[in-house]
Amino acid sequence: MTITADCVLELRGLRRRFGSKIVHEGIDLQLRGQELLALFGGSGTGKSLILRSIIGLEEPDAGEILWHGRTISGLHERDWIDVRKKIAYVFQNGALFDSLTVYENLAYPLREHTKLKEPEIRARVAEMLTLVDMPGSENLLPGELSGGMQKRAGLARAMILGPEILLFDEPTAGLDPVNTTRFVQNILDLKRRGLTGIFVTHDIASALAVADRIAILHQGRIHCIETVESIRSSRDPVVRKFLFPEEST
Amino acid sequence: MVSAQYWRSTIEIAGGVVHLGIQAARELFRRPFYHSLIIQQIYRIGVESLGLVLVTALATGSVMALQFGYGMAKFGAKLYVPKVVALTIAREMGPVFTSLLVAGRIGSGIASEVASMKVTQQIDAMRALGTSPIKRIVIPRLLAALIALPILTLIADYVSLFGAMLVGRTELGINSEFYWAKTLETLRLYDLTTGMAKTAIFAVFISLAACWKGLNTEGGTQGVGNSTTWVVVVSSVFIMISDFFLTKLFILTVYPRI
Repeated sequence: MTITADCVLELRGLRRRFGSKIVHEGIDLQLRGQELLALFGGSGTGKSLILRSIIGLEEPDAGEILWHGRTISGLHERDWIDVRKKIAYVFQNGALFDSLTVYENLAYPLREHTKLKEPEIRARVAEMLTLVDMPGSENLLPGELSGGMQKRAGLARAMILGPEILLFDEPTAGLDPVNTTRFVQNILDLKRRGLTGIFVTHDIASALAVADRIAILHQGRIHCIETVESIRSSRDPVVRKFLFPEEST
Repeated sequence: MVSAQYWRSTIEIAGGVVHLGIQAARELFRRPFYHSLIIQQIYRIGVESLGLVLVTALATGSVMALQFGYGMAKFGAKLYVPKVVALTIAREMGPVFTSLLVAGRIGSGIASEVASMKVTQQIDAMRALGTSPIKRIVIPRLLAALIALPILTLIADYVSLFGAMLVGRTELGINSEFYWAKTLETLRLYDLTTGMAKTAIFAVFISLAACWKGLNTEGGTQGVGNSTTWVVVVSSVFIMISDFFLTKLFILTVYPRI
């Protein structure tokens, strides 16, 4: 695989199995700076597992993950801290701390990793909540938020340290069309600000709307990575099955 | 016949709890320190358990004085009740009952809280945000239990002895001054400290087992329920079995030979 000059994250030959079930048989993937890559694949093909491996929540059995050419797979848990300040993860359901208010959830990374004073934290939290269309929701508990708001609050929390790369785990899953559109709009806003990220999804319309390139995970490997334009015109039956399932019915 | 599966799971549990304990010990003196979380947990484990411990301790002391009183009266040994009750409470009943109560109330609470965080990906989120669940979850609960449980036991000992004294006066006709004098004459500092030492060991096990099970919970809400039950059962069994060996150890090393 040729390494491009602007590659910020690279996966080389990632393998993972659970018991006798082989999930990844050698994942090779490159993410370029200021690129949003959508990752498609059937259920259980290990899309989320790729994201979890990138951020060290799962350990691959073999293979390497490089961030700016530095191997980060296999790091000690303590050494992941610096990586996780720069590569943020947006969980499928937001994964907000349910005993903390929205404000405390967003302030959490700032309190852990910065020396900002409380007024500065307050201002930063307000700024992030405005970015995700949730101004004034600081004092609400996660249980008082809708599913869409929880996801957007999770996005705001992931963004608050100004990470270099964002990993989205099915951000629009379970959302109604209005909330999906709103979330996609949030991502497009971030993209205009230079967002780099990987977007795991089953939502074809959203992926086509926001992604620069699309990768398809099939039978434990990356089957193809193409730009949105070239993938739309692809004749590959696997690609068409994933992106245009109505054709096969 | 005990199956191989049973032994495998027992070894897995023991290994998991010990491994978590080693991880916690390694992280204990590394920054950042979460003092406020430790204080918060001391409040939850210590202060919020106080009412339950007081009522149980008062009842335990009273019942023991009553049973010993009527039992020993048959042999004309009623006046030995303060001595027997004091030793039994300080060495055994205070530490064991308090630890069982804390295992039931706090062990299950920790397990369900941590397990809920696990199944809703909050533990993953904590790690993904560059923080350590060992430092934020395990260490505060471990230290809080280690501090609160021996103190609760000491309070429970005094309340039990007070209950026994009340029953001694009202039911057995033993004068209060005589009762206290005999109690104080009997008890030595090591009777109280060995009891507290036992609870420190129980505290470490209860908190580590609860955190370990919580952090390894799978299977959604049913998994949370299973983890909660598991912690109460395993902690109770550990307390009862290890109490025997600890008592034997103290008899060999601390308590004076008869």
